[in-house]
Amino acid sequence: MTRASQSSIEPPRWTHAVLRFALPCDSTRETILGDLHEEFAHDLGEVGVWRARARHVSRTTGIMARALFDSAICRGWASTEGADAGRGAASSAANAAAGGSPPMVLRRARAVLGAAGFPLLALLVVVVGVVANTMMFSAAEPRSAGASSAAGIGAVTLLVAFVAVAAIVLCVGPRWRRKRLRGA
Amino acid sequence: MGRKSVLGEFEQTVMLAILQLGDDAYAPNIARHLDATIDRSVSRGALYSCLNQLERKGLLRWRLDAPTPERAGHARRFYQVSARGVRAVRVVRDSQLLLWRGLEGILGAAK
Repeated sequence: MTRASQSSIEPPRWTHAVLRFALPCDSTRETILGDLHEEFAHDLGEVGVWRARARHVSRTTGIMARALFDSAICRGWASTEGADAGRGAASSAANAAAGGSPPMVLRRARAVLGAAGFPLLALLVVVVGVVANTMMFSAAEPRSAGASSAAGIGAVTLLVAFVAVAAIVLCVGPRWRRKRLRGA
Repeated sequence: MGRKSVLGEFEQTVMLAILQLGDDAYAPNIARHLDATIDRSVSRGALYSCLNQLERKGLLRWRLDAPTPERAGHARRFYQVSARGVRAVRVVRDSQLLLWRGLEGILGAAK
């Protein structure tokens, strides 16, 4: 594969969408996206397209999992404004001091509740609950085979509908938000 | 001694890698350096989380360079150990050296 054709190969776009969802909107996220892009290009030359893509996906998954975990224990990856302006450590020390304080925790909780992912997560929990209930009652009442199969089909339909809605929200949501911001 | 270390094992490793890389310390390079020198494959999630924690502790500072097309228009973030970070690494080294002392008979000489 030539260098020119390699440069036209991009990492999977959905990984960027996932990171944009999981990471705070600041220079940390932009840097991580750039790093991943650079490493993908580096891997392309070394191990080929498929393994480069696999590595990229593995890195993305690792970063997303860790970012969500850190965010859940109030150690979010958001940069401070001062650091973003290039001033660095002075403001990060202040940020460290404020990291675990109640106002910061409340602000983060509010940000989580206001994020697009929260309704999706809530919906997912409801759907999983409905499916689990249906399966349990279907197993408990094997005599009403017709009713249980109908309930099973209903549960699967609900699950498919949820996945479709989630995909639409994840694909269209960021664009809609960008458009709205541009309009404002 | 009374000097409490503020660095975990992985944090120490990352700080030392940043010190060794000098002006070229950005995340992918740090990971490559650790892989090449001590054969340690680093998860990117753990690395970014660690860098974030060190920054929050005030042990690292960073600067952004100009965005480039090779990075899809994203800037690169170069890390540098702050004066406080250097002091923390020094404290860890001094404590470790005290513990390593006198163990050559058991462990053999360092490579």
